[in-house]
Amino acid sequence: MLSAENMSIGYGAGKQIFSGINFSAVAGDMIGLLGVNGIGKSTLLRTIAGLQPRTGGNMQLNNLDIHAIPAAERAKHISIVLTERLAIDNITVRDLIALGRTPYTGWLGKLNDTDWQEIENVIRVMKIEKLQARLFNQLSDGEKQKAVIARALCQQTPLMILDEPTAFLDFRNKREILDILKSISTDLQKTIIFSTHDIEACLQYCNKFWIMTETGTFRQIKRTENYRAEVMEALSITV
Amino acid sequence: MSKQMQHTGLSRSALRAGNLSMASDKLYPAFYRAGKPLFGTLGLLLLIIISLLLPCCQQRSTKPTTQKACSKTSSLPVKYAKGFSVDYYHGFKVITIQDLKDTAKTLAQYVLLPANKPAPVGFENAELITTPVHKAVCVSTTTIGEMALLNLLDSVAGVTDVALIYNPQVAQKLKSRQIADIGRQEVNYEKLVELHPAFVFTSGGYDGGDKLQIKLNSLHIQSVLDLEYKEQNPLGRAEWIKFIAAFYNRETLADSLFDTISTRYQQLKALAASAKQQPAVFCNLPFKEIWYMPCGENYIAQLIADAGGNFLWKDEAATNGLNLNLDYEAVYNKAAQADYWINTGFAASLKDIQASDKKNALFKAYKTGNVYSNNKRNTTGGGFDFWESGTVRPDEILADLIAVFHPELLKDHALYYYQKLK
Amino acid sequence: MTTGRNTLLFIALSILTLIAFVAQLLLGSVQIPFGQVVAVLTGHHIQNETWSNIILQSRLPGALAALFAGAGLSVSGLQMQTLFRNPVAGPFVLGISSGASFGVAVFILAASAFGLAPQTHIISGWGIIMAASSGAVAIFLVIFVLSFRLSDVVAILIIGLMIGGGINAVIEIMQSFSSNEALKNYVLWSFGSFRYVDISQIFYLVAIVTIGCVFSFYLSKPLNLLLLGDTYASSSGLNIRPAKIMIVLCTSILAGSITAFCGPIGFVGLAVPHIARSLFKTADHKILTPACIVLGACICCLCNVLASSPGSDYILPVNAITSLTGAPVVIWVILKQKKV
Repeated sequence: MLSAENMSIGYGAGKQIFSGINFSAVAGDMIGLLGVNGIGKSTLLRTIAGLQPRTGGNMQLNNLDIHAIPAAERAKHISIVLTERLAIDNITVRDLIALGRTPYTGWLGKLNDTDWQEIENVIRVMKIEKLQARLFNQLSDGEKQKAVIARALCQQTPLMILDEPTAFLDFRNKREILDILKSISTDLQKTIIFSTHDIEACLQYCNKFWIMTETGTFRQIKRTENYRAEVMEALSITV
Repeated sequence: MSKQMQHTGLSRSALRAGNLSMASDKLYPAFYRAGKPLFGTLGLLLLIIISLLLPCCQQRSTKPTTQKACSKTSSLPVKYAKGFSVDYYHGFKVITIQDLKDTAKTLAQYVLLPANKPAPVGFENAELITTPVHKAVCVSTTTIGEMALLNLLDSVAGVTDVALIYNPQVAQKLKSRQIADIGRQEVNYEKLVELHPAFVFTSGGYDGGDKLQIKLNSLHIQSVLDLEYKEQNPLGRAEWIKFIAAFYNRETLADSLFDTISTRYQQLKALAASAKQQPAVFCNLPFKEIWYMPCGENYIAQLIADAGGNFLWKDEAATNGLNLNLDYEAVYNKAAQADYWINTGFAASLKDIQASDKKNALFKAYKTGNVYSNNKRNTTGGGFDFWESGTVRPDEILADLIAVFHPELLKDHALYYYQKLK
Repeated sequence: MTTGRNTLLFIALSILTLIAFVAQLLLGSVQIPFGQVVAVLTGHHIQNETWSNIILQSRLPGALAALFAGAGLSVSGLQMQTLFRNPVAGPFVLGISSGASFGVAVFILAASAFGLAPQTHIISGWGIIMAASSGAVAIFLVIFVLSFRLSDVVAILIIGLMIGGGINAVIEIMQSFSSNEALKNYVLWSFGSFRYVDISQIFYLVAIVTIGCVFSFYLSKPLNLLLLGDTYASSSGLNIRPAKIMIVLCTSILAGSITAFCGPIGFVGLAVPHIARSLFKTADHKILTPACIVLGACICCLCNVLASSPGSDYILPVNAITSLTGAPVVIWVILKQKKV
């Protein structure tokens, strides 16, 4: 259960870039974050993920203040997939995914049976059985994205945050990723928040829409009747 | 002071008589008391004096078509040194520096003649030095040792590396500004030029001598090579006082001084040869695992041999100049049971030697306390009198070494350059 | 699963290391019959006391020094390469080696350079170690303080390099004013040497490197996470700042102490992690750390054997050997990789 009340985000006291953010999310939600370039979508996602502090207001995840708990604790609640490209030589897909288990492993990082089980599950869910033994940096873009999402999934967190997960992917890969994300949110009852520029895809898959409008207001729109028009209107798009 | 007098048997008045270089304090009084140079030398030198008074072929013939080359009237007798020769002509003197291995090869040549005389025919490649020679600059402490023995310190215009110079008279003269300090590692060329020296004694390529020479050429300052350090024969090296003397017309003095030195040396050498056994000797301190050891030909090796010691590497030819780059292990293997360890650099005590490397304490010479260093007469700045006055007093060094290796042969000798480390 | 293959590799490398270690004891500029060496090592008393001393007082400490220095430098290099995401980073990229060199330069050259005396003291073995350690610690503190204020590792890297460069310049100035004697001694120190570490010192070196290596095992997990980059590492639960500080501390302890005892040993820290990655085909520090330890130890032992040029009375500088063997190996590794 994620909620925010009058939250503002930015970089330090003087540099607030967006305020008045109110939202709520529950397990099973697939939330699309929309807004024009530079409005602060990435900043919002990073703030929700706890990677940077909020500049004002409140935010709670399962009754915890994300910004007040240590990183190790936070890692059990939130996992992320970013636009950053990973460049690691010599790492197999399987080993990369295994890194997702770190919040649960001991000081040496050794994996036990539960960990391996979870890794196997994730590989199945992401449908990347054929890729697991291959070297990560030899995969195609779509395959890489799947691997990275798999790693985040392996972290077994109730909340997953993805920053533009379908950018740079071709149509088929896009659909595949979104299908997988949808099934994760529904079948595994996770909350998934992702930002995107593909409004159509968003409208198709998500059950909640968070829009950072150009006028500086934050709107949360649920998938009720007429949601399409509302979303378009919030984005100032005339159909 | 009193210890010095005990040491040398000098009277207080003799010391106060002044101008006695401490380095030759044992030698000078002996000469001045003895007084007479040897007859053979006297005769020769009379000849030199006469030939200098005669008119000579140094003037180019007034007829441009005929030019008479000069003919030598005599040469300075040099017995052991191979690196120089002094030849006398009518009215001028030629001092030649030659290659030690091939004495026909000339490295430098200097013609000494009065200012108003023209250059002689046949010596176009030589450098002209006008007589009388005034003051010279010395950049090497060995040159200072030579000048001091010849009582020529008043002819020293400037020196470098003051901290390395042992001779206290030089220190006095520096204080009273009779001698100028012209720099440490780098020569202060402006000061040098101001001195207007007759020439600078350089060591030619060793210790940056080359660079110095090039600079001196560009400043039109005469340089004179003083290569005594290349002679490995201890007497040959000391004989270079004759070379220095030739510039200042003190050949007579040099000759008699050297005679005394070489006679004493030969006597000591014969004494050492009478010893029944030669103790095993090794030298130098290693740094980390590299041990520079003199080769068989090296000056130090010859001194050890003449002192009746068995230098463990006496049969080895050199690879690196006149030294061998040895591995610590190899040295230890050979010298572990050697009797004497000499020339241990700056070590002031046995503790120092062990501090440098714990393994040094494993040598028998260390365990029996038979470690002798040649740093007894050192300046606070790290200058060794062993290399300064020692260069011209190999007899004293030999006496020291014999006293170390065969104490029964020289019971009353007090060590001069060497000290036993405790 | 490649764990079977990795296990075999480990065993093979360990055996090779053992052989290299023993080779250092058997070979040297002095020829000692193998039987005698074995006798001395197994505690028997042999006739030739000189040989016994050579083996126990010179070769054995040297062999241990090579073993531990190789291990420590390689681990340190691995950590630096991961921390800075830079394949050409080595243990000295933080300027630790420059700091140690500065300490030793002051100890050996300063008196001469500042006109106090060309050289008037004996260079004490422990003196060098203390001087080098002080220099390394000083630089480490600078980097340490900086890493509190700067979270960007690239900035720390650049500052480390600049400090290193500045120090080297000062050392050069001191060198230009020093006497030949002092200069020669400083240069000899900079050649690096395993066999100069003597019996009284080896205990400390072994202890410090062991502590450093054990410490580095703890750092496997943070290092693995740092491979993903700061953001992913943080979101996976890693406390970035303390982790980096620990890594800098560990490397500094290893690189600093090894340089203090053995002089600057180049190339090992840079090349061995690459060889390890290529051989074990993994980026997992749980495997790479012990791999580097074993490989590094092995390679340094071999270099030490070569440096003592067995059979001749002369020796070669260890640094030259490590560079000459290291450089072609790294080139070969990279070419092999790029072909795939």
